[in-house]
This record gives sequence, structure tokens and C-alpha cells, in this order.
Amino acid sequence: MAVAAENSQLQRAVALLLCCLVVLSGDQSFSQALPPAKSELVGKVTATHSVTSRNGKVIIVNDVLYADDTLRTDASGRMSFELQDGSILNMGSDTELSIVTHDANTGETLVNLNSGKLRTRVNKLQNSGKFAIRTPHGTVHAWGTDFFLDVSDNSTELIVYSGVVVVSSANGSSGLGSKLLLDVNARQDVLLDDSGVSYLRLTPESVEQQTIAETIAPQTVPQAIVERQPITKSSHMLRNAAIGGLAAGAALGAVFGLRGSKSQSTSSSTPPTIPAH
Amino acid sequence: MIAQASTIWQRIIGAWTHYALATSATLLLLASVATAQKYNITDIGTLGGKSSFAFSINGLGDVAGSSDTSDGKAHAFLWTQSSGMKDLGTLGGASSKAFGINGSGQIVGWSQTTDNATHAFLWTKTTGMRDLGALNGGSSYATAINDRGEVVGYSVDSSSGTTRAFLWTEPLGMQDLGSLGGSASRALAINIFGNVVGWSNGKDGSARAFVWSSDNGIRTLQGLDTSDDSQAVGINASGQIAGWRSRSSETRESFVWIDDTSVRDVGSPSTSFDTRGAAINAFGQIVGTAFGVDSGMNAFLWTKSRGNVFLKELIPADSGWTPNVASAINNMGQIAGYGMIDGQTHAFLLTPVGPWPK
Repeated sequence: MAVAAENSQLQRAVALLLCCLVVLSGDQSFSQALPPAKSELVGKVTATHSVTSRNGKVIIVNDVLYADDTLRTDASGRMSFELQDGSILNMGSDTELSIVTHDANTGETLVNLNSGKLRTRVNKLQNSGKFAIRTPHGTVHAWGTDFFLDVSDNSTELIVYSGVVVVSSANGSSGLGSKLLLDVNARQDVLLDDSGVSYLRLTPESVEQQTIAETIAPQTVPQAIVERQPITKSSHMLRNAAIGGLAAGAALGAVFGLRGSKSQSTSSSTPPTIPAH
Repeated sequence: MIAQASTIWQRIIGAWTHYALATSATLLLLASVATAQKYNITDIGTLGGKSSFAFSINGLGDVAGSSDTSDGKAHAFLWTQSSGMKDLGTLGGASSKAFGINGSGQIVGWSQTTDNATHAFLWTKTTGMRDLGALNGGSSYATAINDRGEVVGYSVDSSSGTTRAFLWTEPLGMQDLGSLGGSASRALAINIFGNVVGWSNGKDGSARAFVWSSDNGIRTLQGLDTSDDSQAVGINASGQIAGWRSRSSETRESFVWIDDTSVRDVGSPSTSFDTRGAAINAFGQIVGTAFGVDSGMNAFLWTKSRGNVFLKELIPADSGWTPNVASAINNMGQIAGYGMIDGQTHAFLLTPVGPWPK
């Protein structure tokens, strides 16, 4: 009787442990796929090419983006995504950025462009100048504008394709001592560096075309990605299947454990039967 | 002995350091003189008449102003490097003048209408010249437009005898910006953030520079004496303001730049008795006009590092030009104005040669 009771408790404990493990492992896998609950949905991926990632995990078309996400492309990677307010951002290769905040209602947006190339087409906003992209060399404030940024270790190049942006330089001054705010028009090209503004010039047409080409992400997924995605997808499927199997097993174990314990507790009031030999 | 030798060496090293520093400073000074920014000057031409006047320049180097036509009328023009001078026409009357141009190529100014009134206009490539109306049905004059298409100027109500600075926007139309207590105010410039500067009469009738913002309304600039006449004529994105004042204690006017808390006289060319700033760019470069004792006018450029320099000293000596008035400067350092060439007054464009000027 005592042994049977101990077995029953042991089964129950194992079942509960398995359940806990499944719940924990499920949580863990979920936390990898989704950001913390506090993050806001800010947009979705519309195109990718080669290896693109979000917070170190591969990201694909139609994946949603959240505030605090860090996006990366590899040496031949491209990625386009659309923010909730309709603004479109095209990342070039070897590019890293993080979406700090985006509020489609107020237009308030801040993106940190840490390195690489980014074309931004800002949807026209009622609340002007609240769309900002920050680089190590300055911050660009935009109104319904189309512009390109190229961030390297030493400098940030800004090319405005249409509309107007205001650049707040991290270094240098207006020439009269205060912080420099520079309004930059379409067809202008600015280089920001440690000294402030290194140059401001009319953009040569060839440069404009070249920089646009550097951030185009194909809308159709190329073969190389198609070949890679099933691996990713199947690995996800395998993982999910394994998790599902474990969960099912645990659930069954729990059920059977409970059932076993229940039947044993029931039989505890009746004489035990001797197994047939 | 060792201590003595050490002292001698210290003296030798000190002397050499002193010499090296002095030499470096001299070389730097010579280098800065040798690399003083020079400019090419471009004759913008006319619309067929004798004279033309440039009043505004956008970030791309496109110029707006007015020119005599072949039949002797003054017409607003747009000049671009690729297309040359274009007649913008009128609102149906005889003459027009353009005073502001933005990065999108939108141009504002004023024109006579078919019923012989004078109205502010907004010109675009696609819509042509559009009448912006006037406050209380009077006359109106547009003086500037920013890169967001916001227009400022002033409107005159002949029945009441008042003049009011206005801000015109597409959704709201023409808004009265008020005054500093007097009967007149004029808005002369607007920056990308919609901050407006100009001048207004106070209750005592004296003209005072003002700044207007949607948050704070119209207010006087701090640091200006109430006994001084003053005007604010330009404002950049950082909120720095160019203007001029006529101090009651002095006989001459001087131009100033103003930040949010202080006003600074920046001096006048020694041969001038009056100087008036006209415009300021993002880098704090200011252009204006100096009025000499012989009543001659000379356009100048002021920078913090070099002070006042007449434009005639920055262009090729054999150009034949005397730049009289500098009206505007953009962020690439290009300057628009007008001056004498071959005995006639023509609009000009100055473009920096070589390294970009900061």
C-alpha cells in the first residue's frame, strides 16, 4: 500500500514536472519569436534579400516589427519594411538599425541607424518634424520626405531626394556658437563628420541613382532565399513538433498519472488484485 | 652642475617651443589669407529691359527677383542655372516682383491685379501665379516663403490705415500676426519651423524688431533697447536672427545678429555709415548692404571668422562688377543681389569657388 502510494506520488510529481518543463520550454521559444510584452507593434517586413535578421533571428516577409527591434542585413542583404503610418524604409547591405519608437497617431518616430545605408520615405505628417533618424554624427528630422543615409565609422552622408529635412549635427556649430540646425533641400547632399558639416552640395545625378539602387530590395524572393527558407521553416516545424510532442506526452503523462493515482486511490479502499502470472 | 645643465636645456627647449608656436601661428594666418574664399559672379541678365534685381535665393541656387521687360514693365522672374530667366507674369496688372523662393521652386511676391490693386501671389510651376488675397480686402505683399510652403508678408488696410504682418498657409489662408501695439507690422522672413521675424510699431510709434511663433505669438526681441529703431530681416533654422538697429545714442545704423537672449553689434565696414543685414544662412553667414559716406552702396558678407568683407573684394578684380546690394544667401554660401555692370543694374549670383565655405 505504502509503495503504491509512493509510486502514485512519484508519477504525479513526474507529470507535473513534465508539464512545467513543457510550459517553460514553450515560453522560452515564444519569447524568442516575440518581443517582450511591453513592445509596441510598429510595422512589418515587405521585402528581403539574402540574410536579414531581427534581434539576431532570421526575419522574413510579412514578419511584424516591434519597438526596440534591432534589424540587420548581411554583406549582400536588403530589407524593406513599412511602418504603421505608411512610411517605408529600405535597408541596404551591411546595415544595422533599431526602431526606438513609432506612433502612427502622433507621427512621433525615432530610428537609430547605427551603420550602413537606409532610404526613408516618410509619410506626410500633420505633426511636423517628429520623424527622426539618429546616426552617430547627427539627427535627421523629416517632413513627408524621401531621403538616403549612409553611415560609416567616420561620417554620415545624407542625400535628399524630395521634400526637405532638418539636420541637427552632433558636432560643430552654426558658426555663431549655437547648435547647428541645417535645412537641406531635395537634390542636396550633406556629409556630417566629427567637425560638423564637411560639405553641402548639389547631388550629382549619378550619385542619386546609385544610392537609390543600393537600397532596393526585390519584391519577389530570390531562389537563394527560397532554398534557405524551407530549412529554416522545417527546423521551426521540427522544433514546434518536438515541443508539441513533449507537451502532448506531458499532458498524457499528467492525465495518466492523475488517472493512475485516482484509480489507485480508489482501489486503495478495495483489496489489491494480484496480477495474473 | 646637473641641475644647471637641466635648466639650460629647459630654456633651449622653451625657446624653440616658443619659436615653433609663433611660426605655426604665422603660417596658419598666411594660409587663411591665402585660402580666403573667392566667388564666381554670374550675370543673371534681364527680361529684355535694362535692369534686373535679385531678391531671393533658394537652397539649390535658383534666384527670384524682378526685371524690366522690353516694354519697360517690371516683372517677377525665376532664374535657374539650366533654364535661365523666366518671366512669371502678373495677376493681370502691369507689374510684379518676386521676393521669396523655396527649395520646391515656389515663389512669392506681389503683383498688380486687373483692377489695379496690389496683391501677394504664390507662383508654382504647375499652377502659375495665384492671388493670395488680402486682409480686409486691402493690398497685400508677400516677402518670404519657407520650405514647407508657408508664406509671410504684410497687408495694408487703406480704410483703417493699418498694416499687418501676415502668415499664409494652404489650410488656413491669411492670418493676422498682430503688432507690438502700434498700427503697423511687417513680416519679412520665416524659417523652416514657422518662426517669423520682421518689425512692428510700438505704441510710441517706433519700429521694433519682432519674432512671432505659433506658441508665443508676437514679441519683441530681448536685448534691444526700446529707444532704438530696429528691424529683423532674416532667421535661420537655429533661430538666429539678422537685422539692424538705429541707436538713439549714435548717428549710424548697424547690423546685428541676435540669438534668443542677446543682441550683438557685429561692426561696420570702416568706410560706411550705415549697414543693413539682409539675410542669414544656417552657418551664421550674413549678407547685407553698407551705405558709404559718398552715398555709394556696397554689398558685404559677414562671417564670424573674417568679419565684414565687401563682395567686390571676393570676386575677380577684372569682372567689371560693383556688387551694390546683397539680398540673400543660401546654405551653400551662394549670394544673390544686384549691382552695376557696364553702366546698368543687373541681378547677380555669387558662387563660392573651391572648398565649401563654413
